[in-house]
Amino acid sequence: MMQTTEIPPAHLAQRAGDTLYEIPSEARADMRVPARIYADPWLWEQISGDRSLEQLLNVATLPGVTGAVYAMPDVHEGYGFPVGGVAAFRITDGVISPGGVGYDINCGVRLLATGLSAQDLGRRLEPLVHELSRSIPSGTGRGGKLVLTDRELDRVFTEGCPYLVERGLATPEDPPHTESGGCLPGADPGKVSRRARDRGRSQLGSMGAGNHFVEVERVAEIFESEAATALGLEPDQVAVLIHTGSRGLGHQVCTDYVAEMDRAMADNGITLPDRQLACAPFDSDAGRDYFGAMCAAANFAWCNRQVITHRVREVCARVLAPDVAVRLVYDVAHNVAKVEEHGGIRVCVHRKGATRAFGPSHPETPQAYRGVGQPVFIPGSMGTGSHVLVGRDEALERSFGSACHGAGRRMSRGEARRTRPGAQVRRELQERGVVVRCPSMKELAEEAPYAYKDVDRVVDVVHRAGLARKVARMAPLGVVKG
Amino acid sequence: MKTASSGVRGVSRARHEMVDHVSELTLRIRAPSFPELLSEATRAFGELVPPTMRGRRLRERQDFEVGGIDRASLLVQWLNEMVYLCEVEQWLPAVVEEVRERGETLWLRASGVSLTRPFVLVKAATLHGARVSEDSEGLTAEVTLDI
Repeated sequence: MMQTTEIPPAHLAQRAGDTLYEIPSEARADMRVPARIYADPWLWEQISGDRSLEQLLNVATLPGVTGAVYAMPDVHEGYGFPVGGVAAFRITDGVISPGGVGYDINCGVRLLATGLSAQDLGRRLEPLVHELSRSIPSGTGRGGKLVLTDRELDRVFTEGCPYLVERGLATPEDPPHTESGGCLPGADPGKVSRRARDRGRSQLGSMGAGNHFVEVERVAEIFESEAATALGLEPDQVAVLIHTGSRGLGHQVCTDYVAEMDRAMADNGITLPDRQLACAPFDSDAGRDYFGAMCAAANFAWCNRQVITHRVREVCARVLAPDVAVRLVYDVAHNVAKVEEHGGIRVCVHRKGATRAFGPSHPETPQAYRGVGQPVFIPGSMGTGSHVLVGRDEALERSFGSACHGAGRRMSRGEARRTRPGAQVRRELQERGVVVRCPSMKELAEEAPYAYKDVDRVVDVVHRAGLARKVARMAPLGVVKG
Repeated sequence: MKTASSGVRGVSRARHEMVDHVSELTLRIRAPSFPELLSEATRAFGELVPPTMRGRRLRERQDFEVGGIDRASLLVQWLNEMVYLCEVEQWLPAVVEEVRERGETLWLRASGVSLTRPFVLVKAATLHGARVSEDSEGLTAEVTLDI
């Protein structure tokens, strides 16, 4: 293990702006670039309390890292990379790290806007939430309704969401409103192990457990009406927010390649401060293999959220009205590595618990949102509300075009369970008019609002830092927990 | 945090505790030997599976082989084997009957119980801070589980 400084990383930081702290690259002998952390003083105190800063500095030691490593205001301790970390590595001499993407490859969020207001919904809220919970498998152990053959899985891996248009599970308008069109082009099905296939085969269209959810929302506040109009959002509108990822398939891809790269670290001459940072040169057999498998898993995740979208549309047609509009606003990944060009250099940007936030003029911002910015969705805890933002062009310089991904946990699951029983959490949410469906009271207690940081504060920092602009705030009406 | 004990055969001085952090569980194990440590890890993992999901009778015996560059990675890979078995085969290794360690390969024979449905709570066992160290009283291990 490499020697690291004994001075706590927070003591090495300098305040570099209203919402920015910086730890210079000279702070540790093994750092190659500085670390920049977006936070206000209150969030800085929280961030300094765990090992996320130390983990961020560890990332700054990896070969080929360029510019700076960044922590978003919702950053917290992870495995190897902190959750809420962003780092870019040169394609020519840099690395790719499965731990820099995380186990839930392309965990992400998509927002659906309905043609109904909360008033229109009225008493149909409870049946709507109930039917969503019956139609979308969730919780520990429940798979989806689709079981795919190897050939069908290969098409999901290589074609992503456009394949589901052919299957009648997506509309032609859905893929253009999904990050990367719902398909990363580098997928290589041959690099996805049999085990990963087995874990994912029956999970397409399922939520999984933990902090995953499907929420019925009401647009509670509009901050920027022009951008809201461009996104098709208006006050009191009912929307649906979906948060899930690549399920067991993605977990197994990460497991497979962390193990493989761990075995090859010595051969590659790379020394690490944390074994979970296991990595390989991007331009190597192991690097290319992982990238091909990760892209396949990312495409699986987009298809997973797409199949759930299809189920939401079926439920809305059944419970609300056969012709009710349920339009995909956008879908963003927050655990992925992508090849992008920054400052004229091709890099592999790792966003682990961070959302891409490209601005109005970026060529990859979807056509519908040019001039506005790529939509960014920041879910809060269940019961507190979520945010819609749009990326800013300035974010390219400030964070490789990235923003935060959520409120970030501040309490362990056990501590949350001990704080209040699930039944009480449910009662408190019901008193606030939030309809809840959850597989178990234990899981409900683990995901209670107080277990998370204040999402409003996190989003405010992102806005003030010039990474993304606040467009709207949504309040939960109903929650289906994973 | 909770502690318990088990052994490959009979009573053992092995112990474990689970410590929960912000987004993961850390499993800490003390055992007199590596086989007993693996047995204790197996038992600890099994405690995460809700009793209502577990069959009562030990089903068949299975043999496994995992690889890793050291004992820490062998332990991590065995736990990852269990993650896979519980999720895909709906089979939970419950009793480790035999362990053979040959360099970078670990061979285990275990009997287990069937599960009523796939268990997916644990995404993976990680290498983050994974360690197996030895002193005069035996082995100490630490592994972080992503949940």
